[in-house]
Amino acid sequence: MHNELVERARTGDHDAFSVLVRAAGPRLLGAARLILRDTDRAEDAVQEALFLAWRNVRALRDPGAWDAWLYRLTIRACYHAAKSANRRAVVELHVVSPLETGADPDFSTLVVERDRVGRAIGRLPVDQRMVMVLHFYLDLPLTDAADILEIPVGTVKSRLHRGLETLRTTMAREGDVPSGAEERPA
Amino acid sequence: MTSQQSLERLVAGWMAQEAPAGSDAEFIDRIVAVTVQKQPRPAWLALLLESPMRRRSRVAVGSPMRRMAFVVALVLMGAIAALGVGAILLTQQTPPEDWSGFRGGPGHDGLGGAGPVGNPIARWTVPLGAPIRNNISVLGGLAIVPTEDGVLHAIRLSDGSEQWTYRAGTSLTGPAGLDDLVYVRDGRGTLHALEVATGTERWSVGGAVGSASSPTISDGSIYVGTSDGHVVAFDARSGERRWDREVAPSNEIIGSPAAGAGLVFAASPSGGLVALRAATGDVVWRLDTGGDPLGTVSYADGTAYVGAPSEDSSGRLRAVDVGKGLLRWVVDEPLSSPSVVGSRVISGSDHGVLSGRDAATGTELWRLNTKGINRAPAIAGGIAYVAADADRQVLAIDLETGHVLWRTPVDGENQCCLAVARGLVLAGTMNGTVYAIAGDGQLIGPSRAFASAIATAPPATVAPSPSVSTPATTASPLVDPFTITRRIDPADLGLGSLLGLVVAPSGEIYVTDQSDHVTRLDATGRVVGSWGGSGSAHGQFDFSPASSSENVHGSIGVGPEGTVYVSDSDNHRVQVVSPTGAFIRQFGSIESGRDQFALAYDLTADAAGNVYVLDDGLRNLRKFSSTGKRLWTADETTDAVLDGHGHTATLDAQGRIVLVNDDLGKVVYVDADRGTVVDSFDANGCDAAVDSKGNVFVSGCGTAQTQVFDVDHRLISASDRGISMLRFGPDGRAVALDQTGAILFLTVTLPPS
Repeated sequence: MHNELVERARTGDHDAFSVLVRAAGPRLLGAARLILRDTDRAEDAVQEALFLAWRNVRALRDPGAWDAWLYRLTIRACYHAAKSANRRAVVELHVVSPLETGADPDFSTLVVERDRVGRAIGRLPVDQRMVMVLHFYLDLPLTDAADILEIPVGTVKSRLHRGLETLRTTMAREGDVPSGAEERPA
Repeated sequence: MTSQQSLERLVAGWMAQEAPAGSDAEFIDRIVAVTVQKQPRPAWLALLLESPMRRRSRVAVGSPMRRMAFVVALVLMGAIAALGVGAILLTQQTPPEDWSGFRGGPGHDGLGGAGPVGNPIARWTVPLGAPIRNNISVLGGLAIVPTEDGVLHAIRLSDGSEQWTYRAGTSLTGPAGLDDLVYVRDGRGTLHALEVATGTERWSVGGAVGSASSPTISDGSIYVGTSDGHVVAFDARSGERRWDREVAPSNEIIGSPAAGAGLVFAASPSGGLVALRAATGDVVWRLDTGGDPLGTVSYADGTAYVGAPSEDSSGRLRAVDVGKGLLRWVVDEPLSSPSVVGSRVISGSDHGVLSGRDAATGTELWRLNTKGINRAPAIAGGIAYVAADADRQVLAIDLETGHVLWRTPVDGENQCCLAVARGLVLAGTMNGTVYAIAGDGQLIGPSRAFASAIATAPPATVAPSPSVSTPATTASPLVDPFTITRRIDPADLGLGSLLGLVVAPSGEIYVTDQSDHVTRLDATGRVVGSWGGSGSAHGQFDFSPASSSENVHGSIGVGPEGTVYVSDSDNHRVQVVSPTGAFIRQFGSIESGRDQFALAYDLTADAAGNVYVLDDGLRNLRKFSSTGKRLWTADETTDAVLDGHGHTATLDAQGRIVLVNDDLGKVVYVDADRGTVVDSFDANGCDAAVDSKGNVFVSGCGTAQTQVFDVDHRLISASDRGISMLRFGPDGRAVALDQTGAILFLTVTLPPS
């Protein structure tokens, strides 16, 4: 059914395209919001992505790649939006070495501290955030994320690792180390 | 669960909670609404534009050949660009050495080879004894000139001597030349081919064509338009008729056809603009022009132009793509078909307007107002040469700016056109005189351009024939009277754009500017004081009217003992202040009944303190006593010559108020005691000044020209330096503004009367 809709969209059937957009739109918008941390810019990015998808729908050779292609278009639009935003505002990041914390906290008990998680994620470089969103929010395997980002899988892995490490140290430095840290196995 | 796993779970949970926003449906509706207005791109273009995406090592989106396609496209574009440049180089207008016929050549684009260099000097003038109504051709070192008595004169360019004459006995149209032959058509319909060098007739075709236009020579053929709606082609070598095509009803006259790009163009009101195949006469396309009167067609660089006949006050100017016969642009004004050079087209008109436009868009770039009919200019070296009928002058105009570089008088109207070739401009007049205007080789400088004109003309190298007059006795170019001694930018004085200016009897200068201030300068231009400010209180001013369609003003006058009078336009009053800015009184207000001001405009004060005020809204001139009592009103009800907008009320030595009515194009003298019109003469302008001898300086409306008329209203001098708001002070010194708004200190020198 999904592939049939894509095929119809490729023939210029806008109704089919609309169905596809209604299915994918919220997911794309969510991803864009997480990457850009700004609803207005996220909407602009997704609109740009879906507009391009419609205009270039005939460039899609494999209907099964529809979702991945929409992710790529959205990621690309987010990247452009983030770049233009970076020109307007520079955020200074202070990264603390894990060695300075002297602890390896258990984050499973940090549900109540999610706003702090959000702030910490918001401070990540956009390329690390993109990998995290593709992997943790869109639930894509790292190989698919690599295809979408047009980078090697190894690079995806390293960005993810660096991103998580930065999160860990940032949150630890800000005192978000839960008591569960003491439960860490010796 | 490891710390790593718990962190990942924390991140995933946070994202799942954070991502939704709640208004997604509305947003998606918006995207659907946007995309439905467009269609997907064709597959080839989409594949080319969308960068390839691999999925599990297979290309799922785009084309893997995309990069190569871009390279190929770039190479192709480069090749096309190279071809285009080559084509342009091959087809661009190439200035000819000669001026082969009507409007220069077969395209009638008015483009000549070499014009005069420097300021104008008359190389020679030749009286031919009969009016010259048709075009002059320049061929092989000769000017070929037809006169109304049916004689064709060949005059040597070098010295004005006559090489040969050909007597047809009837009126002639043409001439047009090709190689060693020159063609004319006589009044009996015979087409003559004469040898350029000797005037010997090579062949003639009797009854070739009835009443017909000037011939156009192109690619071995002669084309003429007839008075009964035909275009006829002849073989230029033998005179044999090649084809004859009816393009309009038999009661319509076809002007001299234009030729180019393998086509022949003809125009008439009913037939519109027609393109014929040059080889066969077949109609290639026809453009309906809605019955508009149409003049001669001109052609250049793939575009045909057709406008109003030069003596018609109706019609439009059109530019047409000759490839398809499609309209490129149209100007809804009766401008004649233009001369063309590069990206510029220059049209004349029957109403004195000369208009320079962008060839691609038709956008007007400059406009010059002259008197009478302007016919298509001849162009050479970035200068357009044009004959101004009513002014009886030949003008040289900068193609880029429309500024007049020089002007020189001739003894009569030029009812056809000029020729420019081999360093000369050739003009024939209805008085039967041919002028060969050369250049002095010097840099054109307005201050000296005209003064040196004829006096420095080099003597003819060959003794002139008895019919040739000597240069020194003929042309007398107008002298630019102004010498600029100092220039001050108002910004350097802390002033905004100046609105009013006057020179007091003391030599001090008062100016008003857009900041609603009056500023007093000493005779050297140093600021002595400034007062005012925006508002309606006593001593405050509002020079800018509420409506942008009205004139911004702030005219200023100086009365006895330095009393200053200011037209406070948008406060509808005249304020009287002391030389130091202290408020004394005001005349009128919007509430004050019969003596209100709609828009106090230019004013002047006399030695007794009376004030004369033009009202731009009520269109009248009123005189007020020193106490503000209205003494008289003059307007269109008192004299028709005051019907319109008056500018610059100023006093002359005889105590008359002198003003310019720009609507009627007249300078008007009003008796200062009675308010009656005592004299007037024709002059177009928006500003007038009178010197102590009564000479009137009239500055054009939006043009750079200033004309000077003596007390007998004869034009004695002219300038094209953009002088405006000229005001005379003591000892004949003058102050004015230039086109940038700078204050100029001038000395004025007029030729002896």
